[in-house]
Amino acid sequence: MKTDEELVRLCQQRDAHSWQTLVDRHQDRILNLAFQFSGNRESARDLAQDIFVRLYESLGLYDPARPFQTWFNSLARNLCIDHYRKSRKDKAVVDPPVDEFGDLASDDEPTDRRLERREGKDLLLRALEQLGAISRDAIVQKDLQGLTHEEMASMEGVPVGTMKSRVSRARADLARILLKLEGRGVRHGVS
Amino acid sequence: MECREFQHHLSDYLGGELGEPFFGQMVEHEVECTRCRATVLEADVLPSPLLDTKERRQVQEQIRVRTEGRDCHWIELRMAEALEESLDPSDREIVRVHIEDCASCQRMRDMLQALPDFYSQLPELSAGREFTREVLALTSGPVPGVIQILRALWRRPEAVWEVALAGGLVVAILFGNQVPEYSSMSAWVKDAAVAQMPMGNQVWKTEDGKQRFGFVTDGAAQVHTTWKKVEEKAGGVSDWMQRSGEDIRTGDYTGLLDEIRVVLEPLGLYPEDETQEAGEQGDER
Ligand SMILES: [Zn+2]
Ligand SMILES: [Zn+2]
Repeated sequence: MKTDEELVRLCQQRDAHSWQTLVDRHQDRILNLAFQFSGNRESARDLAQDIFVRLYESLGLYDPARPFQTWFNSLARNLCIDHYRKSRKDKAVVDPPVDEFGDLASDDEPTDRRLERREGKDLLLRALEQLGAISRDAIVQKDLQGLTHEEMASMEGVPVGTMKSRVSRARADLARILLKLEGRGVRHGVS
Repeated sequence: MECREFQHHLSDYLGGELGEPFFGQMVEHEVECTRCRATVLEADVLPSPLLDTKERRQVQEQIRVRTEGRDCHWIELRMAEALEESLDPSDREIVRVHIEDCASCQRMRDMLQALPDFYSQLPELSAGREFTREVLALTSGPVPGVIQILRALWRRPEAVWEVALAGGLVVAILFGNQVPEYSSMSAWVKDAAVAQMPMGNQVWKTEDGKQRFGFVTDGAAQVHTTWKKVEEKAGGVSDWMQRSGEDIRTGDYTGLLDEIRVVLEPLGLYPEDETQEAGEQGDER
């Protein structure tokens, strides 16, 4: 199997097949990343496509000395943050995102359990929506994408300690918002 | 605690970043020290540095009200950190003691510990083949046969951009003095169709055995940039290119389609009914 770096080199020589392989290899991860940022399947799909179009346009700029994954992640992340900021600005009233497609749960799962799951998911999406772009990014990269503090810090060029406290803060904010949405605020809550 | 230390940690203190027992020491110092309390209150130094018992109690009460929940914030951050890695034993002990009689932090702890459960409820999306196809259509993709694309163009001239974006073909024949005439272009189109040329610069031979250079591209944006480059590089282009380029820029494709028809007709490469349609379009022009 060819490495990402090899595929990119072939793409740079306009090898269509390598490009397809590269898209195929990364599309699920990118689509989920986009969903974790947008909270909506429709816009996640558009966003993920934008990311690949941008990647395609930028292939010529890729420096093979850098690991592809790191480079691509930071490109995707920038687009997600941009998109998130824009979509938040566009919305005068924040519509609570509800995952309209529901779960692809198996039928043998009891209905009440499924409902519970669904409510939990919608609650989380609504809470994420209230986070600022940097906090949401911290949650997505650390807790949902499973990056390490070190990876996140190097992607952004900040000290690891800064990244750690950013993640803790984002989690605390998220938990506080979730408590508020559940009607169980904490006394020293932030708006 | 010394004033210098108090001042050094002041913003963390006010921001709720400090935990016990350090937080308590800060409170203690604030009660004791008129000068530091004045900084906190952003007030001038009080005239009397010594407080009697009653004043002292008042000050303590004021500070308590102002700092209530401040150390909770520090506790929260430690608990959030603890999701990741275990806290050092002294911090863990402080958190434990604090939580025992702070209901608010207990709720926070429960919620923080529930976060992984919440996360696990997000769906795991799978992009699927349709997604790949759409991406490839927006970028290069395997270049479809030239002829299919020309046919698609023929049926729906207004869809030319769409088709171009659909990983299709916008053919630009490039390179100044090597720009072929129609006769050789037909040969090239034929070759391109047979060879399913990938996008990019292509060298091909004409019927009379001469080498030619062409460019197969895949998207509107690229056409524009390429076109600019061509004009700069070639220092002028053939009439055919000039006209086609103009068509592409203005979005009026009837001329271009007529040109393509001229190329394809002698090759017998499109069905009769489409000829008819194209003829009508040509008439409207
Ligand atoms: Zn002092
Ligand atoms: Zn507390």
